[in-house]
Amino acid sequence: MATAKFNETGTHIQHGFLKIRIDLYPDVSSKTHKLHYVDKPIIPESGIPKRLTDEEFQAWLEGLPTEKELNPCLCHFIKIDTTATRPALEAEIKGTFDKPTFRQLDDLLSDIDKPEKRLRLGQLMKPKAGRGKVIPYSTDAKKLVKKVNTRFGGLEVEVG
Amino acid sequence: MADIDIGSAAIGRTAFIQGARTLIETANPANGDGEISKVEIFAVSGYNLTGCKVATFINEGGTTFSTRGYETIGGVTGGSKQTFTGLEMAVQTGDYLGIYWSNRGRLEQDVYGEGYWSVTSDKIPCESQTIGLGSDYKATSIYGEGELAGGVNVEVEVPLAEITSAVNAPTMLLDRKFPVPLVALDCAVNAPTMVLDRKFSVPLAEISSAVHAPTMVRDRVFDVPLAEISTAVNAPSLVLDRIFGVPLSAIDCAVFVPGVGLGAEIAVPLAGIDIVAFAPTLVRDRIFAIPLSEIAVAVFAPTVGLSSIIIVPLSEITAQVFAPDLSLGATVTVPLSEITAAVFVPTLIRDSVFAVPVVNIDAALFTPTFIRDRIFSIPLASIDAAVFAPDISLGINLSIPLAEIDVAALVPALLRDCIFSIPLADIDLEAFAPAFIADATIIVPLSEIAVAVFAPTLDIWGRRLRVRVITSQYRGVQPITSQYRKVKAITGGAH
Repeated sequence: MATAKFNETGTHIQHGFLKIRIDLYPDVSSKTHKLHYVDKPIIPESGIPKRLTDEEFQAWLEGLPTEKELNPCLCHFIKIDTTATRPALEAEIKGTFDKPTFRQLDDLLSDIDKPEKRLRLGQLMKPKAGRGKVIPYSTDAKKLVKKVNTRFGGLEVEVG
Repeated sequence: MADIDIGSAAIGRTAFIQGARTLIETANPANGDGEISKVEIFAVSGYNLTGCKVATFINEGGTTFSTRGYETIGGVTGGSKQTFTGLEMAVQTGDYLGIYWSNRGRLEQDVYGEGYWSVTSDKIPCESQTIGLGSDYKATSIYGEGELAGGVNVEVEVPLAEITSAVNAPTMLLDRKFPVPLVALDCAVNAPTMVLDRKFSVPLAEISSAVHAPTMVRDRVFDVPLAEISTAVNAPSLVLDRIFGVPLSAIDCAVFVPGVGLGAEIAVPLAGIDIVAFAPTLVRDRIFAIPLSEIAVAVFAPTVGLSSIIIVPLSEITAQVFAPDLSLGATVTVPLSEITAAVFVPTLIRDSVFAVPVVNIDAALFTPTFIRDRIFSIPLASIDAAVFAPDISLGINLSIPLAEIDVAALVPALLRDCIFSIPLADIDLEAFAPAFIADATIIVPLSEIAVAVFAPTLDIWGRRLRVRVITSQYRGVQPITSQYRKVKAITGGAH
């Protein structure tokens, strides 16, 4: 099992296609979980001090307490139609990361340094690039990205 | 192992590099031509990267670089290897992998390795920019993998006229020569850019025969199943030859650009033809009562005002499309749909729906008034199918939303206009009415031909086209050489 989350930082247009980013967070039963459940510094509410040199910043950061945090095990880009709805995207995400696919992903990503697994990962994800259509050149890219991020912001789907 | 790899392993390392910058990893340049589809990055825990872009860089000598392909990936979380899939970055042998990030994030780096080039500004994308050597012994954790391009990774010389024949018969080429799944074939019809993005593995000989020697295809009498008559629409001469036995000599070009290919004089701007010729659905589906200029606008923005039926002075359109030598004058109310359909798939529609004698069909091809004067009662769905998806239509199955077809497949004028940034008329001459410059021969990689004709969006979004005019005729197939790695359009007006 995993949670697929829409990541608005990856929304962009490439070669005339609207592409969005889906981050896959493995649950604790997944093989990849331990690889991506990492220590991270706890940033105080006061935020990051300004005007620090790199060395000072590093010292400040290293002095902070840490906590465990889960990173995505995979960030996958898919092409979508500009008119795609939230339910439609949810369905597409579920289809992209269906149970067999996630099982394979979990297996491959947990041991990704092996060449044969790297190759299989590429083969597995290459066809899952989405089926979005070419958008008109006259499209205002910034407005479209903003609109898409608003539409899909916070989207999370249980997959696998 | 993947076909192509580039960059250094994305692993935790003993040191880091910090701060917004463009960084190019010197280690492990790409070992093949194709596309990078996966990138791995390892950022330092607690130092996430933001606003990231990754790119393949061409080293133009010394510390001068241009991007070949790039993609925006957004934030990169630190603390573990982050794998990005679904990327599509063009790459060629010798390219380097680079990254840009916009904050004080850190990338894992070792104090040993081959080094990196770096500059504290955003150079993705860039062209011939200086990016200085940051270190010659530090390895950074960015790594990419991808797939080799297919068999079309060759450069050939072909007369432009023949390229255009190929352009007008894309489904034929895809259907007959490329072992692509039906999904891809659909893409070919409905969104050619998708097809062009793909790398096909196909014997070059077959490509040559299909793409670069269309006359061979045209002149042959094929014993093909009905499904393959889909080629009829895009290569109508084939069907004419098979079904009607009409001499091909005068018909070939007439169907797509009537009058031009025949060698006859025309007294009309090509733009006027193209507007209707390449967006027939829009025109066909509607009866307009607007000036031609506004129709053109509608063609380029087909989603606008499509719901109403209005009356149009037919003369404005007809005169240019069908009978350019006619003067504009009379106003006629007629559904343009049937006319347009007849123009583009005259044989198919007339034969299967109207049962017009062959002799009259011939007359129709060259006497547009024959078509124009008739109002055909035919279900629009049948016409649509015949025009846009003939193979499906012939099989009595049509499940493609026409709106999607219209935009993706049949509004090239829009794309055409955008990419080249030159007057439409000039583009028409080169891309869609090659007869005007049929005596010229160009050298262009096949993939770039596709870009030029079908997928200008590729150009729009960062790719470039090189077209070189030569005087010799077809010289056969040659491997791509380094001189063509960086392609630039040098034809008149194109940038």
